[in-house]
Amino acid sequence: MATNTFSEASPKEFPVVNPSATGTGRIRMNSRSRVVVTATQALVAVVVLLAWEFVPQIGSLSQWKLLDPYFISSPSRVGATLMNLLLGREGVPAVWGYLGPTFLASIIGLVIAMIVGGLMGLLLGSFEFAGAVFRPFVVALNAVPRIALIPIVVVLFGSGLQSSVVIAFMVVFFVALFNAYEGARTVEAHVRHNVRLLGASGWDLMWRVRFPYSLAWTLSSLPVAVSFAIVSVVTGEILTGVSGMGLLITAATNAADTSMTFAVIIVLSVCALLMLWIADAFKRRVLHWWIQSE
Amino acid sequence: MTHLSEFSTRPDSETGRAAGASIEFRNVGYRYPSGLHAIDGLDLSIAGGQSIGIVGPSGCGKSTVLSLIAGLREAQAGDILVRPDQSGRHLLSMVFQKDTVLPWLTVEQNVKLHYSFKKGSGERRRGLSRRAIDQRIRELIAMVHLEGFEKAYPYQLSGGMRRRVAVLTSVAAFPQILLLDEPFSAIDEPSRVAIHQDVFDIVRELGITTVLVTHDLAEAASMCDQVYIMGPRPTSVFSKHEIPFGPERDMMTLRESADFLDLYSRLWRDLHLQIDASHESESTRDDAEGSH
Ligand SMILES: Nc1ncnc2c1ncn2[C@@H]1O[C@H](COP(=O)(O)OP(=O)(O)OP(=O)(O)O)[C@@H](O)[C@H]1O
Ligand SMILES: [Mg+2]
Repeated sequence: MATNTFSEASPKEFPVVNPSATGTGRIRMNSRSRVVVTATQALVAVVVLLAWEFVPQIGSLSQWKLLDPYFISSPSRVGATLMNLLLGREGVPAVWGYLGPTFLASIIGLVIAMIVGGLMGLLLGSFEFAGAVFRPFVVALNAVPRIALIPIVVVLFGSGLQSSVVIAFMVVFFVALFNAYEGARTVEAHVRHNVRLLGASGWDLMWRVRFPYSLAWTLSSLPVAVSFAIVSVVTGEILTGVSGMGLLITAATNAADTSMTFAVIIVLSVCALLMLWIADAFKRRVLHWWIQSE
Repeated sequence: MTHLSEFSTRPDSETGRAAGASIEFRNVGYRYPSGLHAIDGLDLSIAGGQSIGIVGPSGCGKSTVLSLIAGLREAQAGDILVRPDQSGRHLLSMVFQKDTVLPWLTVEQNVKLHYSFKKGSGERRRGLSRRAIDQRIRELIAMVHLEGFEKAYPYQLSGGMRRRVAVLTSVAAFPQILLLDEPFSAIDEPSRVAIHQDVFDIVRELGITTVLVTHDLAEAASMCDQVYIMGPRPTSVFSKHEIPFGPERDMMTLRESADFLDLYSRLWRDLHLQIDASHESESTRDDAEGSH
């Protein structure tokens, strides 16, 4: 086909996630080697934690900045701070009041962006003309450094939940759009021709044939999208002082409290994992046909 | 054999036979946008309700002929006439050489695909109740031994089963014209002969005009009224063979008859000639390219 608009450009410009590459997200193994792998992973984690805790205590190694617990903290201190943060004790504020807005903004921004971006991508991928017309605009918009727009967003939407949602949306929107676009275009000519000959309208072709592929590609980009959403919301909070996990990081940085910074990072990571886990369960249900036909 | 009389085309007033959609090619030529000359001076005449077979060397342009009939491509030279019959049934469906089964739909949903589109459900209103169609489709599924797999997804099927789903999806639209592009090639020989019988019977019963592209001469001889042997690319008709076995055939015993074997060897002789010719033209083409 003549126009191959986004597909030439997007892989370089944006991380389009090819769902067939991620597959089930795991390498298939027999259960014995899986046990060995899990055990090795646990071992690696323990070794890293032990090294982090005890290497700086060897001789005068902590003289070196990179091994100075003042800068890098230690697992035991991070653990203690994390407990304080979770329970809101010993003068540390409870994390929940901060996590709430960040988590909520990330989820709302993510969901709206996935739906709106996914639908836009599906439309652009289904109608060659629309794709050809809008491609340069989309690519140009995607090249805009979104962080630079944060002040404008705050002026427009105030410094609150709304701003955070808009910031997450701006970033995730393009991930969804590019993936839905690519997915819509993977439908091969003979499959399109077949359904057209069976009486499908252009609308049928879009919703009944292209949409499932767009959905598969868009959902496969969720791991990227989830982390983008959280990163952009936290960045926004750091820059604007909107209450949230970003504010905790700012406070910890001002107080030179690296244990607190690490504790906040751990909470955010767990949060991201939780979102990914939900997303993966959703994908397994909806896309069993895709996962199974690998 | 199932009776699909409810679908039969209106009988022709004089002959009492279903009229069926007809297809005619007059001096048709087609070039791909790449410049590749696929078809040159092709004449075909397919009367309503007839089944014709198209056989020829690989890459000679058989699939291209089907896409021209289907209107998926437009010929640059000559005329293509497709005259619908009076039945008001769906005009045309095609079994593609490549897999077209939709992986997120069950076997049953795939087979009923035509009826899930607005256009297909409109046709349903024109004559048949949903119940009647469901009944026919159940029979079809049983016919090709897919019963029990109605709710299965394509990834749970074997290659041959997927192929049968693709064939059924096109047949279940009960079209006036059915185009088949090597539809049975992934199916084992014994089931293949059984499916030949089933498809042959449905096609006869409904008066479906059928164009079958195949590499299997026995398949062409047993299912068709005429077989065209095509020449090398750019292709046109090399020879046309009338198949004298009539509208009532038993595929299993047909293959044992002397007439069949005789016909087979005549078809083979022509095909053999064209395969040789196509190798020759390929090597001269290579030489020409080499000399540049
Ligand atoms: N989309 C296309 N663009 C350019 N050339 C094509 C295209 N499709 C097919 N061709 C070429 O046209 C010629 C005829 O192709 P076609 O698919 O009709 O052959 P065929 O007779 O069906 O072969 P086979 O028996 O192997 O299926 C081939 O040489 C092929 O390379
Ligand atoms: Mg072919």
